[in-house]
Amino acid sequence: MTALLTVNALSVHVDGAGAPLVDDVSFELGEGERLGVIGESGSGKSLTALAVLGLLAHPLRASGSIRLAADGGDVEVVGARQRRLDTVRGSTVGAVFQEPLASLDPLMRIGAQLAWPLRQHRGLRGDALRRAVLDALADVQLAEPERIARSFIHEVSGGQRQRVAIALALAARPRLLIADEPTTALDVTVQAGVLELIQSAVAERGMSLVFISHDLPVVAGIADRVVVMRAGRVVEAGETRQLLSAPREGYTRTLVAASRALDDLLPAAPLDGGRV
Amino acid sequence: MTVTVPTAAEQKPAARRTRGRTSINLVVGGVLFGVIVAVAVLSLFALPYEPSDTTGGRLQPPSGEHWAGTDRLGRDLFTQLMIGARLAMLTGLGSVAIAAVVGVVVGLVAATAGRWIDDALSSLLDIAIAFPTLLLAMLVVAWRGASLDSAILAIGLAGSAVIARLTRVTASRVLAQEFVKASRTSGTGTLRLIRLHVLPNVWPTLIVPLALQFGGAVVAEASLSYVGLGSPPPNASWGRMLQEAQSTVLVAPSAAILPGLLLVATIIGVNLLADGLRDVADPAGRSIR
Repeated sequence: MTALLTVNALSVHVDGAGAPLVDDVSFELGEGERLGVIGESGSGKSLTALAVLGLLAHPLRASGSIRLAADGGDVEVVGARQRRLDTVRGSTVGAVFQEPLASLDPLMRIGAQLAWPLRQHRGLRGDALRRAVLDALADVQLAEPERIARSFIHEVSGGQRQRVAIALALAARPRLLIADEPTTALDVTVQAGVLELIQSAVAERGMSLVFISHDLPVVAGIADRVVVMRAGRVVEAGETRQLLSAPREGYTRTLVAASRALDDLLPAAPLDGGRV
Repeated sequence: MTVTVPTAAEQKPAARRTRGRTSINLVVGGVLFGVIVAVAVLSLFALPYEPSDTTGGRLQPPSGEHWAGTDRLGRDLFTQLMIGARLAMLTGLGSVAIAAVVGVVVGLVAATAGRWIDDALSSLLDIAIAFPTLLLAMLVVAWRGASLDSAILAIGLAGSAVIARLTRVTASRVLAQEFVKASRTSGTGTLRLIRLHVLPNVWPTLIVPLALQFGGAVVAEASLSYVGLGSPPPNASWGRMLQEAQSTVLVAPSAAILPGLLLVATIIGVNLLADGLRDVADPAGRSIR
């Protein structure tokens, strides 16, 4: 398996301040592999994702190495120029964020928003572009793609918004999808559907996935391997099944035990589908 | 679904109120401003008298022959008022265009460039905002001579500082939004990011101040003309007409009252239009269509 993403000794600092927010994080992601990143709020998982996307803004600063295997050769994200990153984003790596309402432009119709990456990365114009927009919406199982394409983001429901955001992330056919808590802002009934969509989209396209969540059961259902983060550090990493059945670190054990306890209280709740 | 339904229901009555108010503002503002614009355009093609025609007798009151009377040189005041409308429109448009272009460009550079440039530009803007328009106008006049162009340039530059700061703040806020981050992750470059997401989201914030500056520019030009820094004779602007009528105000009050009234009408018209435009540009109002 060739590595699509190699993160090596990644640290994120606040410029000029002392303690790192992400400290010496390393992991590798192969083609088609699905990695779960788990940790409580403030554990540095989102910062890690932003660093991989090259989106850390001043005063945050990354050090270490993040290599993405792009079509035109490897790209080192840390310290890369904006212009270089623009060629990787979208085509090699796409992202879905937590809050779908915030991650779409309120003043732009959904169809127009979706058209831009299709134009830029796949060179589509005119009728072909229009069809591709509708296809992209249909691909994320949105009924009435025509209506959705004409709508503004506040005119569709929360679950539909997240599906649009996923369509946007997938539009340029990236080889790696970074999903940063994509279901946290959705209500429970909608979550399962969105999770299923991410899972099937990744499987159908043979994409790699980095799935970030604080939700152990959700990650367990979707990831091959899991990285557990706490206070900016990786405290444990391994195969999902192994890690969950025999957690070595105290923190992971607490997480697993908490999930179990909750599960025991609600015997009907599935471990992998919806959220407990 | 459960999320949008109540939201849409809440929005509707509010939006209806907005639209009701919008139409009144737009209609009144549009009529006032439209009349001035129409007069200004008409002055390009037809004037009752030549501006330099002094055959009308001095300081005549309004009559059938001279609708607004004549000034102390015997020139037709209605003709001058029409030309004044044209100059006012030119001043407003020109200085607002300068303020918008310079302000938006500087503001966007400050918002997107690195910290040093941003800090430097922001300090310069603070100085520029504190700088009196009249003083700036005197500098421009000293550099280029007294003319309408100088006045427009000075007023436009003075206004651009406020627009630049507003653009910088609003653009920074837009750039910090999640959807900009999301758009970046699909490979959108900085220039396209500005065109697709930043400008459309900044624009609604700028419409009202720009429209207000239109009115402000007309007043500023009147003040500059009043102190002799505006457009030179014989193309009298409303400000110059006020100044010329000052000494004879007790004999021929209409020469002072009429340009003043037109100034007031223009500014009220523009401000009402600005209010109406803001409601139209407001994304919340758009959702209901």
